[in-house]
Amino acid sequence: MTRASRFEDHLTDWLEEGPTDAPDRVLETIQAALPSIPQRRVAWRVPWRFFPMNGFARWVAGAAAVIIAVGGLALLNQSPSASVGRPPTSPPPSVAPPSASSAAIDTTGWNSFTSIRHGETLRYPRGWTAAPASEPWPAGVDPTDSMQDIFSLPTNGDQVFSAVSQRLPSGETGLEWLTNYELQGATYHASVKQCWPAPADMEHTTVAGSPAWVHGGCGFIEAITVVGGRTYVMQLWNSYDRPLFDAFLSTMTFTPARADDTPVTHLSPSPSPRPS
Amino acid sequence: MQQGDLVERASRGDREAFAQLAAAHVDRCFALAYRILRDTHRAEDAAQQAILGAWRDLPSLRDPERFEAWLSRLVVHACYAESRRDRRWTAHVRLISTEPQVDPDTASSVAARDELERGFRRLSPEQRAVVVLHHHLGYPLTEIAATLGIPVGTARSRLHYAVRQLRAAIEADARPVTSKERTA
Repeated sequence: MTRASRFEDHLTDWLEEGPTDAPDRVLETIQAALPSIPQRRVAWRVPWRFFPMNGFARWVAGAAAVIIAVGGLALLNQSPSASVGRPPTSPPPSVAPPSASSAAIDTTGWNSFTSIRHGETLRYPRGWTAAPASEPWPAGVDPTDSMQDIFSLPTNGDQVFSAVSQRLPSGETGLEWLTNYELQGATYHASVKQCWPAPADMEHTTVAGSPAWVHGGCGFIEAITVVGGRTYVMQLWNSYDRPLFDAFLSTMTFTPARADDTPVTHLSPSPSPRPS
Repeated sequence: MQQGDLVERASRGDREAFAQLAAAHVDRCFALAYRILRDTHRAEDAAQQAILGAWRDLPSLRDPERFEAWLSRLVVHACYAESRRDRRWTAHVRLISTEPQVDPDTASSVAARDELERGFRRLSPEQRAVVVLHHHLGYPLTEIAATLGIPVGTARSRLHYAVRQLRAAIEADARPVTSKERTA
């Protein structure tokens, strides 16, 4: 045995010494604190999964898109325009909870919000707070909180509505984008891939007059629509409150021409303190 | 219930499922934190912070099978945070015992452990982490790199220099103090 290996063996033995069981108070503190700590919403729970696709996955995605298209679901398969497609000719199967009438929730009196980054307007309930996106959502990355317009109820941090958008990549249709988007979710969450169904298995609806896909049932509800060459993704996290989600959607309008995709320039490594 | 199922449930907001995960992993988290921090109370804090952080960020875990490695990473980062709270990491006084040494074997063993303790405390938190992951948990370099989110080359060099620095510190401790050094 070399001197070096003797030393490392000695080091390993020394590291073995010391306590191995946590005092009971550690777990007790954790259990006591747990109910008051909300889980992070949004970018983490992530149906967001824009990781580079390997060749096979890309081929599968392309094949799936072709099959769906040939199967007659040519929804939103037009070049970017104010509205990206036609309503489906027959209602597809839905994995989302049955849609309740948004009339169940009265949205009059809700606060108005206009997104500078994403070019959408909506209303959100009184008592909720709005955190506007401060930077665009570029293609190929997971959106962070700062890329999304986020609405939350301070007294219930678990329930969050978010909206985010990005320009469709050149030459890509809305259906192709959505197919890739869901396929990547199903790939990365293989054990719960039903949470990211193919577009053909989603509920179809309209948001602000544009065709949209809706799915949910895995801790979130998600709606996707494509308007004017931009894809918009709206989510309600940690909630199956479909009437609330529909109420949010019913207040939305899209003005993609007003979206601002200008990247944020960080002039200094840390923000200067705000003068008091 | 399988751990993967618990992770899945917890990631969807099931606190009961997460409480079971916490109970199953709290000892491992504490033991890892203690070996990096060398302080019981700080290790308790780090373990708590890591596990509560795991609850908060669990929805970001893409692969439930990676839960243990992911949790280890949170523990290591909690240890980094604990170390930043205490800038006195390297200010450890070298104590020289004046007690007579009765049993040479026992005494040399104790002395060797003390030397390791002192040398280890001189390492940076980042160096301590790779030493513990490799020499205590038996992680190969690739697993260390994946756990800490660093390149394999960085893990290798960090481990190499940590062990070398540890040996150097121990040898320096063992070296007789000259009158010149004593008066410096």
